[in-house]
Amino acid sequence: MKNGRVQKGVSRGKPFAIEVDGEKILAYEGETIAASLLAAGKRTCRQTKLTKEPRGIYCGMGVCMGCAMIVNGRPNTLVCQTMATPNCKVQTQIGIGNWETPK
Amino acid sequence: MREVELVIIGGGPAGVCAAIEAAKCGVQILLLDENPKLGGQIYRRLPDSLSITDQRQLGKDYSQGTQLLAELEQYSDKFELLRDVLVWGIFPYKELAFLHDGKTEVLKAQRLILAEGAYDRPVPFSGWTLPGVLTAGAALRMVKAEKVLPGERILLAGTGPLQLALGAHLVEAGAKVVAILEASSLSGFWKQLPHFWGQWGVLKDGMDYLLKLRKARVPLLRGYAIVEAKGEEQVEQATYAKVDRNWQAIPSTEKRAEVDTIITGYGLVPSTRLSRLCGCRQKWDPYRGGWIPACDEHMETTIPGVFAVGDCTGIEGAIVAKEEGRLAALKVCQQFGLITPEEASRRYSAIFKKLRGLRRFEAALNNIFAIRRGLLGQIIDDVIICRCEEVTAGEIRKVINEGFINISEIKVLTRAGMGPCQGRMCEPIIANMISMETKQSMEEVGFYSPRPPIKPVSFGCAAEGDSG
Repeated sequence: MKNGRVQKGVSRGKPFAIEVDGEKILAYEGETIAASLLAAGKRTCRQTKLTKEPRGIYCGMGVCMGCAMIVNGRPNTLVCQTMATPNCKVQTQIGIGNWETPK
Repeated sequence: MREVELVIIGGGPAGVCAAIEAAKCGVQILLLDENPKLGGQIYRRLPDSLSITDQRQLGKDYSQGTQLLAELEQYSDKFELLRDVLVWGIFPYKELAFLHDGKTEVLKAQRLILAEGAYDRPVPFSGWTLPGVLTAGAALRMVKAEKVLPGERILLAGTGPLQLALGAHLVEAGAKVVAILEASSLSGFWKQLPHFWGQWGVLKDGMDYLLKLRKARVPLLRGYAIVEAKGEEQVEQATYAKVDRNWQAIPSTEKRAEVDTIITGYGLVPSTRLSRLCGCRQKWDPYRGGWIPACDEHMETTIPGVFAVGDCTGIEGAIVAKEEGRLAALKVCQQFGLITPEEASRRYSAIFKKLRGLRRFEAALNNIFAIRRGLLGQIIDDVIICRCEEVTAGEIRKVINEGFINISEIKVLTRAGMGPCQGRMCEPIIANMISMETKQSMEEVGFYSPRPPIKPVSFGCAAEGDSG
């Protein structure tokens, strides 16, 4: 798997897996979901509601709302502002997104 | 309702310095910050779990941030700090509503210091909504604070010295930087040179970055700008072109590069949503980033007791921001009678003296690198302008041609600016488009009036809280 992390001179915390659209990818403690996604080469966060175009991380500071995804069932979660946690479930958001029905 | 003497919103350099000065005088302070750690964008902290063996990799800003936060820490018993806070509304009489821990709290501030900061200027071009087009701020955060590369083959396009810093960081981290495009021809540089005299630290940093880039054989192209990004699911190719003095692309000078990432760094836009909500009069200052709250010499806005400090009052960098934070805090202390007018004016004049030199330097930089409008002249009709509501340049031009020339009218007619970013992205672009097409001044075009909540909050979160 692609790993876009800087390795030289950097020591990271605990590694764990997060689930992105059903696929497991590597994440580290203290990392935002946005960073885990970029490191794995996954760049599309959502599909727009009208033209279904892909969108990804743009401003990286919680302003543009471009990186809204469904995280643990909650839509419109900005992954650039949300920490990765072990086994968290991340899904590409289609349009304005839906709440996942709690089981 | 709970009442606090001083609420400071924003924990970047300006807000932190304001907190330090106010804490020294014994003002009751509540400091609110949006992030899990203080420092703002420029002093953004690494997560505790990440450690860097070579401290030099972190850069000078990082160690300045460490120093400043350590200074604040000395007064930790003298102020209250809430992190991960979203201030979503400010109402008359300085009443604020903010979200913390999933709940809304409402309180009243006797004095308010806004240190909202700034964000990267959105600059549209064909394909700018593709994944793989990022702002310089996003890229800098990824490579510096997350130690993740935003891409493998990268083109930088924009203006100003930040691009050199970013380019050097990316090269050091192992990315291939295909080229750095500087829109300015830098022809004004020599004229401004006297204003750089004495700013040796900054000049030396600039030279270090240039040397690193030269060693990595990164071409630095002056007078070029990005015109198109192409790709299916993400960026695959970039087209750039030579630009004229107004930064408009010159036909048939286009060049192409195979890249997976385009990073745009066309300067910053001051964040003014909170000062607008407070009703502070805004003034147009293109050299300092656009609309900013009008402030007196002590950074008090036109609403008594509401101060604004740092980049949200005009883009002038962290060092100016710190001094502005101190000024505002001292004025608050004086208003509360905690320092004598004599002591205050002695402190003010020391700060004014520092600010004069710093501001001259920042003005010289802004003069060379201020955004030129030709950049927007090349936007073709099918380019998306409002990223949230997917409104194109063509749709906006259509209503302008129908005779609607006020930005609020155009918002209602096209939905541009009604999405979750609340117009932060599209307002600077649309305002310039209207002004160019109708020959009105930016003051005549106006700006969006934000309404609470200024960032999306769920109905449940907004409703829950102290209503008493």
